[in-house]
Amino acid sequence: MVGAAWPRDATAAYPYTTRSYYESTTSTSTLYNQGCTAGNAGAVGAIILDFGRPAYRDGAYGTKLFGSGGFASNVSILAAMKAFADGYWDCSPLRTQAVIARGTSNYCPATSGCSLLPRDYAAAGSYWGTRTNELTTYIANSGYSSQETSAAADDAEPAWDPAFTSTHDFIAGYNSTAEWMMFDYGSLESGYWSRSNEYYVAYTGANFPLPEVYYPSMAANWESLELWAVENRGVSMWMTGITSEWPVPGTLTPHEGYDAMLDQLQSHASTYQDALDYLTDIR
Amino acid sequence: MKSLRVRAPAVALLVVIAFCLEAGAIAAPSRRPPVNPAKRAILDHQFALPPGAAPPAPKNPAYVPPYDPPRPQIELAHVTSTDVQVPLSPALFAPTTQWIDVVDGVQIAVYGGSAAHEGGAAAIYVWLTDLNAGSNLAGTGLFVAKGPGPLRLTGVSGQVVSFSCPNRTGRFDLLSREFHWDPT
Repeated sequence: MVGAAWPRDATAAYPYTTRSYYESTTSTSTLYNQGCTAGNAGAVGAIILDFGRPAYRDGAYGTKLFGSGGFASNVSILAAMKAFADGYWDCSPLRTQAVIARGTSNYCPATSGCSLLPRDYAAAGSYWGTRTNELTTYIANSGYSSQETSAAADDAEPAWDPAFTSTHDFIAGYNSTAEWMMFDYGSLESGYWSRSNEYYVAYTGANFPLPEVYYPSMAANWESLELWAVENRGVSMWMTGITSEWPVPGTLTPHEGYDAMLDQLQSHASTYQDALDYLTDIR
Repeated sequence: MKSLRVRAPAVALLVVIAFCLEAGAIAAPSRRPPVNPAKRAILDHQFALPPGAAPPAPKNPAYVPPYDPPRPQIELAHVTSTDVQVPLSPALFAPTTQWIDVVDGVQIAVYGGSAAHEGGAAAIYVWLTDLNAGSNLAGTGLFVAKGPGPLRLTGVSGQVVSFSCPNRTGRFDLLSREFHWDPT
């Protein structure tokens, strides 16, 4: 086993670049198709299904989907993720392995006029964790555990929640119930959160960084946080990989992002990693 | 005899390892930062086979799931400036407005705003999605205008997107993906 993740091909220069999704629907047939597509492609690594920012309606927590999707309850998201797990299992060759992450974000700047905001972000996070646990149970009971595991993911962007309150509460809630990893696949733009807050999002409890690296400067921001962690927490964070958003013009390709992040980590002995385990491209 | 039985496989294993190292099939020991016991426990738990997990299920790649049609839940085909959640990082694009329609299972989402990485230039993000396959379609992309943003959508008619920018108005053609500015 390399690092702590499922083993990747140690002879390959880069880990497999998985496709992650911004979701507009919780249609089970659509999510099955996405899972089957990933399986057919032999996808290996972390796959984030981003169902949008947290929301609450009629007594139910969930998210506001992207595009035309509207509100999605946690129950419908779980059904969609089960369908993705089914599709990946059915269509994948033996021996591929995927971490299927239930994704959300901390979106909703004060000026955005967001509707259906959660009444309690800690509760929203707690239920997010519970449903993540339930996906693992489904995977285990379905006989998929040799190739699939369940996780969560949070596109946490400092500029979206400068006060940090809802971001903190959601993650605290998640960690109060969840038994599985949460990937922080957000950014670290400066001027919003303290280093301590950034570290909390990236590495508290079951959280691990899988950051957006679209530009070399973004990798440098994460290395700064790594150095802060060494100085203030005694050890650097284990960087699981990077997230790209290719092919937006002017941004780094997944492999360029990987190189940029690894170059930064290897620029100091205290943060040195010889490889990253995951590469994912979200579109 | 007992020690020989143990030793023979061990020698064979060493030979295999030596061969694999020679062939480059086994990487050098990984160098990672130390992980504290609590984090290590999470990782070990994450990647261990859950107790009581069912044996591997048969695979059925020919399975076709029951059709569950994607259902748009927002008011379609109108410009709005509230609750705009764009499927693109804020490091790349800051939205102001959106217009979304669904035609024959294809979602056409148009977002107006500014390109954060282009000095805040006016920009439009077009997101075309096959809602049944759950995949993006050709034509999806971020299109940056030669002019200051932010850009705000004002309407969509056919393939033509109308917009306004600080001190200017114009149109964007969804097929040619070209910006046309109105005379000032």
